Amino acid sequence: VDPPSRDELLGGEATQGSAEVRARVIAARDRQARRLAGTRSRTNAGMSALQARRHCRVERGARAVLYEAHDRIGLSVRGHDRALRVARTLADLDGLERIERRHVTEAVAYRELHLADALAPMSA
Amino acid sequence: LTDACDDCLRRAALLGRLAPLITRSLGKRRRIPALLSLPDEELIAAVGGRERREARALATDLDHGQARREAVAAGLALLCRHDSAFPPRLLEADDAPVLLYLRGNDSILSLLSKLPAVAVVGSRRASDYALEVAHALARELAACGLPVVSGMAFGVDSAAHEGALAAGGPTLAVLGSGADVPYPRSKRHLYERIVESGLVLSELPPRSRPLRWTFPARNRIMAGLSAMIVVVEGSHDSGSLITARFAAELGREVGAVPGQVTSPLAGGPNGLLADGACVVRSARDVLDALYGPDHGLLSPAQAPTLVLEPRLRSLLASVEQGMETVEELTADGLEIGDVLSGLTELELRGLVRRGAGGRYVRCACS
Repeated sequence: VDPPSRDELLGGEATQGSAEVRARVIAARDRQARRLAGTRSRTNAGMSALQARRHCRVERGARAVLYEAHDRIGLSVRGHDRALRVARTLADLDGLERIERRHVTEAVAYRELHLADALAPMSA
Repeated sequence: LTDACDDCLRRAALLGRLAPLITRSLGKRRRIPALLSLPDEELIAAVGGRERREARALATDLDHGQARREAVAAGLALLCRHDSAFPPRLLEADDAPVLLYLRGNDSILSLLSKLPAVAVVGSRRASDYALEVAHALARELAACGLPVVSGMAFGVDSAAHEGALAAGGPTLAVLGSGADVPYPRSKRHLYERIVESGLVLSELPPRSRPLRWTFPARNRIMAGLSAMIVVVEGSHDSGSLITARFAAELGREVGAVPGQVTSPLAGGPNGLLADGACVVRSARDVLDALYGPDHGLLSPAQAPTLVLEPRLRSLLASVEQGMETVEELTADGLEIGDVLSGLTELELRGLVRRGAGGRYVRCACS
């Protein structure tokens, strides 16, 4: 992997200021804490599987994404649970209670690189 | 597309006014399509019965100007059979409505004159198997660009619309209520998504509630619009079989998805198959029936790109040009969230694959 050039590191324009991002993150964490009030968890990452199932209600078209991600790109069961929590967080960052399709598809893109992914070109 | 001729508008408004009387007159053995194709006077006489005077009173003071204003106020477009954009297949049916109220994406109409639409229908209470098959079938057909027609009911109908939407392809919902009335109500969100990228249509005036007879009436429109109808699931007395019969009478292809012989829910399609309907195991069977065996459609890598929404098509083009990392793809100012979610959409359609080092590559085939 080539190290990034100076321009890549320092160039370009920031799309959001740090203060703005900070405010969004704080608001998102507040939402999570409020949702999980009365439980031992305070964040989406800390949700139990049961809590995740209760709080990560996704719209129908978005649920299909998870099924298809399993069938077509081999998302594991653990990957599914993780994607669901990440999608919950992405919706929280947007200030939305409902998890939309774009949140789930973005979350699926954050899945870990599998060894299988990395080897695919050689074995194909 | 907000114009229809005055006569057609008055007829549609008349139908709306007579709707409750039609329900009451249903006991008579007359079939709904035959009833609805009667000229105004005969229709009034047929549904009025003892309250013929009352029925005739309803038919006076029909004002096409007001009907037009109501449609516009409800956000509906009007299309009458004298308009060149009226679906040509529907004109072939004697009992077709004279006017359609539309909501959604008008460009779907022009598809109807170029490509064979396929109705995917079945029972409201459906097995997981039927939901799965309906979704996949509609997704593949829509990915080939074929309009998928259904009735937005629970179960099979909704799964079919969902499948078509998942492929980013065209879908039409024919309602048994006004085109501005999402029915069933819990399908409101599906309705909104169909309005956004597909088309919702109905022959009933705005704000019409669904009635018992409006469903078989709606089924005749689904049959009329489609070149082929596929019954995915339904018992031997299912409403889907009515749609299949209308389609057969119009000379349209009828297909059915085989089900377990022990399941009452499969009685409808299995019965159709026994009577010679076309076996539908996948979209390929539908395409074979419509185009003959050597159609060359459904070649997995190309067909779906034709119906991609613009942002996905341009993202795919970037990947094809060798921009393979998220960094490269966001270089010209795209939001990283949009790029990532778009890449997953393309992966789900089997168009790109994430390979070594998280680089995205165009798939040769899905």
